[in-house]
Amino acid sequence: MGLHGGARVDAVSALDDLFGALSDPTRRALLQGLMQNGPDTATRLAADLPLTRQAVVKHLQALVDAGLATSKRDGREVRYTATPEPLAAVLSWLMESSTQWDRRVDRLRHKLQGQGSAAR
Amino acid sequence: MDPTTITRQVDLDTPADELWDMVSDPDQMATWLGDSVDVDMRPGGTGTVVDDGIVRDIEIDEVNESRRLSFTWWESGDRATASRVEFVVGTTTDGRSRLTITETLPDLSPRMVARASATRMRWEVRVLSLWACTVALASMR
Repeated sequence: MGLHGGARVDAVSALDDLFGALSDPTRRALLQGLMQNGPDTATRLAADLPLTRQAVVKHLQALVDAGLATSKRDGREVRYTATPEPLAAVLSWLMESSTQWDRRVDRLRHKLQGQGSAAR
Repeated sequence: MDPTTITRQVDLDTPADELWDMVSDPDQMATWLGDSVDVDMRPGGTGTVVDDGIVRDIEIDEVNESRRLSFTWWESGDRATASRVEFVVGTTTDGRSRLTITETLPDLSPRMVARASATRMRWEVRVLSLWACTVALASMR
């Protein structure tokens, strides 16, 4: 789960970790909760879920490994904070690049005299 | 379906040879891919593409007889932002020509993450983005 190995491997596993972590509905709910309600502890998060505190800690750790959350000891508890920046980076790449290809495809079609076409 | 892959498919009445020239000849590429395209069109060849004010360095990975071109490009000076693009020209069953464009983001670089957080997206927008992304992921997995 964590980032190991050479730089190239790190980068690839960063994306794999990101989407791997988000593929689980419980982790999505935990991340969304941290984003909407602010930093929180595993104990309090577990109170709202049909899961043990230990199971919640595991899911939170997966979010931390994926770079989607950070943990910080606060007295006897550990507080988790959402860090959605990697997700924002992927989304902005998707949005920007997608818009650019639409524009390029329009130009190509126009260049080829607007002949009948279909795009997906 | 990989969430970091973008695909576009365009069917045209233009003959496939003509379409292939349009997507593989740098001078013709400059009429639609960007404002300027200057590249040595052979495997390993490098160059520059300017589009919408963004200067990209480009390196050709493959260009072949079966009308397939693939290249890697990145914002000039920042190879960590590299993505891979592939153009394939074929024909449809009803005799039209078909261009399939695929762009894949293989890595998520720290700089891309830093830039996304520097855009200071409003918190609500981030939450909405997460919601949209998770809905999309849930439907594809």
